[in-house]
Amino acid sequence: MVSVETREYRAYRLQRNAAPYMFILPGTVFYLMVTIIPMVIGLWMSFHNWTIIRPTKPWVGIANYQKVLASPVFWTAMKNTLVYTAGVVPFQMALALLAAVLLNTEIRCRTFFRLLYYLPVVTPLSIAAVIWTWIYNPNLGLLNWFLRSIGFQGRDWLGDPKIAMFSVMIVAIWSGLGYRMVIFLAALQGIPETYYEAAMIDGAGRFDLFRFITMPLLKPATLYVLITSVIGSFQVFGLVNVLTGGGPLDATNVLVMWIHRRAFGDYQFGEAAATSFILFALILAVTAIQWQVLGREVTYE
Amino acid sequence: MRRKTMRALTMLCAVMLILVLVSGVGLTKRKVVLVHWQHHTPARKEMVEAFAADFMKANPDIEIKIESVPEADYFQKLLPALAAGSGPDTFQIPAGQVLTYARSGVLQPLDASVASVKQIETDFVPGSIERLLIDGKYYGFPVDTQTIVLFYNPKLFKDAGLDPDKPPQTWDETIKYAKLMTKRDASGVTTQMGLATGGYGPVIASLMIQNGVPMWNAQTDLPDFDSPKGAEDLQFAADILTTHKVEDTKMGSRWNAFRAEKLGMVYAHPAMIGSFRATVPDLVFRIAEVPAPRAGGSRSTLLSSWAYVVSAKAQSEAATQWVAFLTSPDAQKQWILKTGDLPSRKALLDLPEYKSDPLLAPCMESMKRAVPAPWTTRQLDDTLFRKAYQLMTLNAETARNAVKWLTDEGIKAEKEQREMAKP
Repeated sequence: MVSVETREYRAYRLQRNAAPYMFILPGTVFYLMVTIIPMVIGLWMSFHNWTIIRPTKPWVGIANYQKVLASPVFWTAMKNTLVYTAGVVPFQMALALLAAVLLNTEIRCRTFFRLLYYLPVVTPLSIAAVIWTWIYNPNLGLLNWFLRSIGFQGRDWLGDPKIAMFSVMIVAIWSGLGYRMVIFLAALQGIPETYYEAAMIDGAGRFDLFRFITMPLLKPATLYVLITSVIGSFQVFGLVNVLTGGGPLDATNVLVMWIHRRAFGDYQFGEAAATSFILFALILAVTAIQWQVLGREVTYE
Repeated sequence: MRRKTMRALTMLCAVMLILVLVSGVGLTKRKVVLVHWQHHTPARKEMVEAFAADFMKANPDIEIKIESVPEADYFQKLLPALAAGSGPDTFQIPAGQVLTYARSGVLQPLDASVASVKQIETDFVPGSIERLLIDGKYYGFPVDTQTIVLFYNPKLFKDAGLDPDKPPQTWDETIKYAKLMTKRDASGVTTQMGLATGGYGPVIASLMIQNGVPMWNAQTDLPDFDSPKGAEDLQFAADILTTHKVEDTKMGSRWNAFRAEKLGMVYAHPAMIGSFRATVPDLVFRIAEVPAPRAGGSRSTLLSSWAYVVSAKAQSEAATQWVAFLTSPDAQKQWILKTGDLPSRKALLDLPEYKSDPLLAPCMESMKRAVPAPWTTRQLDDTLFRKAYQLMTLNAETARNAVKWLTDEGIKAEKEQREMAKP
């Protein structure tokens, strides 16, 4: 009788111990298959002369990394990616925060405005590209029509290498603003009203409320938005691809676009994989710095 | 007892059923299934599906499964599929790439019992099959064969006081006509263009061919555009935009401008016949062979083409039959009518119905004169020429520097491609 109970208890204990692992097993297997294993294979690829269709893929050590770092186009793409990130992330975050603060107040048609700001997020990229290509059209576009109507010269917004990246950044800010606004809005709504009331009793003005209550309490959301925005900007591809294809003269050629071209255009998968790991290292370093510098100040209480 | 009998009967029935199935499978001739990949336009997809239906009717033991992939995603899907061994049985690739694919072992030569080397060489225009012959065997049939011709709008010719029956004969005349057709409004904004190249690679390469630039260094066996003549041709293309200002990128797509009757002349592939007919059926346009650099000069242009190829894993005879069907004389007659793909079969070039067709006759003549690209790298098909052109038009680089850059980059790309095509 005792032995039966022990067996049952052991089975129960095993079941209880195994259950959590069984719950996370599907997710873990999926994550392994679509992220970890491809990453390991990618790393393996980056040390081989991997031209995808050729059966022989000889080991080349760090030659792919050396080739990438010696390529002027890689450095152009790197510079463009950094310019894009520096141009998009701060403005997008600032505008998203501003929109969130405004739409968190009691204004008329608030829901309509929230919808309006979020609409670009759910607009398919191809449709957004068509709309913006028309807006930017040098002769028939809305932007140049407006500029001419107030006495300025029109520009070739996407065809001039000097301003093409700027034009792409405007579209990027427009398309990603709504998502960040929603995150800020959710965080703003989580700030208890009593904090503001107490501060107002102490004589705090609107700016003081924002500076000493809103901003500190938004730090977790700000850190999240900053890190994900920087990562997203380093990985930009689709938007640039549909608007300019990386041109003119590589003025908007970004790192992921170069990776794509080297892989699927030139079959140099080994070199493309090496570039991916350079980008990975860059993102990791920047994220670590952000975490170190800003993460310390963030509390989640 | 009864239960035992029932069990025995059930077992007997099951065994008989299995035997019938097995014998049935053995007796029935197995259908060969061929998966065919094609990068698509709506017109092309419809045509290939119709060809497949006709082919299957004539060959009931072969089933064709068409998978049409948008051109932008084509290589993104094709390359991993071929690498994983799950790729199509028959598919299309640029003719210049056949060597790389064949040497990588993903292709097999055409089945000689269906199409012998001698037969192919008798039937097809030499330039269209030059890149498909590897180690004495053909690895594909040519498709989407294109040259460069001059499309022009007769209405805009008349409006400018030009005779639509007399298209320009020389480069100088072309610029003269283009200037007559270019219009600007009071503020200097271009409202109508006279001529456009779009800086398109095959157009610039064609200008070089016309002017006698070999584009290839026989000694190094590598690309070479760096010569005074090469610079002259690139300068001609750039001047259309920068000096003569008869082309204006601010007007947007040259194709849309031509469709809207806001562009007098445009260098283009004959495939644009199909595109213009499909998008603006009422548009009246004409075609002429490209103007020569000077009186009596060459009108040869670049011959670009793709190839229908057979993968290494495909059933050789059936797959060769299918790609041969897709490029048969009857099929090529339909290709030219619906998509503007020029026929690569010699017999079709001089057909009376094409000779008397004002749109097709110049295309057929251009096909006879066309020269295939000597390089194998895809980068020289368009990207590098376009960049060299942009270096001049956007960065004010000199023509000599631009052709030098083009040569250096072309050599780099060709060497890389050759490395991949090592036996």
